[in-house]
Amino acid sequence: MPWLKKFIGAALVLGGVGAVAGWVLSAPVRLDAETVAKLGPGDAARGKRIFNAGGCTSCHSKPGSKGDARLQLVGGLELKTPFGTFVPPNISQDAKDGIGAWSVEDLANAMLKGVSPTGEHFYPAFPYASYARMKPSDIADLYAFLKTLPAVAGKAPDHALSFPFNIRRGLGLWKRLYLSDQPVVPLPDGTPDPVMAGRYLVEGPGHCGECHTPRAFTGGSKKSQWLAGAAAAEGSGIVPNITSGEGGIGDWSEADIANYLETGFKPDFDSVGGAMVDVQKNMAELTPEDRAAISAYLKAIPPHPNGYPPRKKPAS
Amino acid sequence: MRKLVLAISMFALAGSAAFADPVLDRQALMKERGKIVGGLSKVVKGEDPFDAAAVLTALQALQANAEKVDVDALFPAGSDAGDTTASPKIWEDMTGFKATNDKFIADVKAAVAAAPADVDALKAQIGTLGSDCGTCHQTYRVKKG
Repeated sequence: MPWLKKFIGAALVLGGVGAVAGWVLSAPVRLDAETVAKLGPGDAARGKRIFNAGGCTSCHSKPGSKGDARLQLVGGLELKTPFGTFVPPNISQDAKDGIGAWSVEDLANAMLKGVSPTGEHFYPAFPYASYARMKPSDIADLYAFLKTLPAVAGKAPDHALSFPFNIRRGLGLWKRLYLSDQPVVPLPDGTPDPVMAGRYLVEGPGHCGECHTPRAFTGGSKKSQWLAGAAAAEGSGIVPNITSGEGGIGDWSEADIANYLETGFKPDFDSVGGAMVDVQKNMAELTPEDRAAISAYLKAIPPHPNGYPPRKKPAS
Repeated sequence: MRKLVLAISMFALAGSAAFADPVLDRQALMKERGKIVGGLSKVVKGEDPFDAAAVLTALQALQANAEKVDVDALFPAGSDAGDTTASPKIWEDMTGFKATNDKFIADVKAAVAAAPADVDALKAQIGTLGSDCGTCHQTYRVKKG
């Protein structure tokens, strides 16, 4: 059956081409020299603001730690998601177990490109899809601040993921779909400065969209429902809609949002809860101007109805 | 006639005690608590003037509210079902839940005992109490759609 031979031959060739193309397209891509040149010397005092805006402690502190112990970035939290369990690593200054041996360029490649110093893809549970929008100089400032924090020994356990998510190389294709340094919400010329500043904080270092925006089955954010709220990646709950659409926070004023970020109290004096508790503590460390900028941006973005399904009525 | 009215009201009373919905009861207490804290926060933010007597009255009301929370009665087994945002973690870790509740009660009592004399003192106390709210809601409440 010569046709069958031909068919198998063609399939093998096509499969081979596909595999080669997949391999090439999934290769980790590092920063270009131009971006690296923009990193600059870095300033630890400015970096503290970025550290708080990014909320690094929420994932990288030892679970359950309080106060100054939160600055020991030893990792170890377990994020149980449908893809498997992600464990944020030690990012303390320990040279062996943490990132004490990293250069500023290493940190920039991790945060802006999701690439490790050894050239592997990081999983986007580390929210580099948001950090990719950050200014290189902010990464350098953050690097300088991280250098002031303690070295803590101890490796966190590896991620435990199911197939095919356990194949890191595949993330190269994911990045082609979802990794971009461009803003999510286009803002016209003449947009007030606080809104622009808020866009940067929310879409970049603050990575608010990682929890507040629903994800496609691939794990990428659905930008058409930006900040519309989502089923929580962990557990059975939801993350609220923070647009002004139905179910969202349209009835909150900018002052209400800023006050919530500062004190943890909602306009009806219910309190912050869930994973947002740690986030709010970090937001409270920002300046009133930064909190006002976040509020101004949230009031300026397109409204969407809730990005999660309505609650099932309990069976009666 | 008087006997009938008495009987009916006795029945209503018994009914409300026997058939009260713990979910609704605890939600009512949380709403009341939020209102009291809201009033105090207005003082902290300078929207309302500081009046030591009024502040103390509000803190006492907060203490009364806190002491009404009988965890065993308000969070019976199985009351994580239905229209509630109580997390199953409450029943998985009842000891931790009760400890969190006890800390709030202790902090409210301390605030009443200290009877804040100025806005700054009140601000510190509201900060502590607010962080208690967050600590409990972080672990023991789950947002639902």
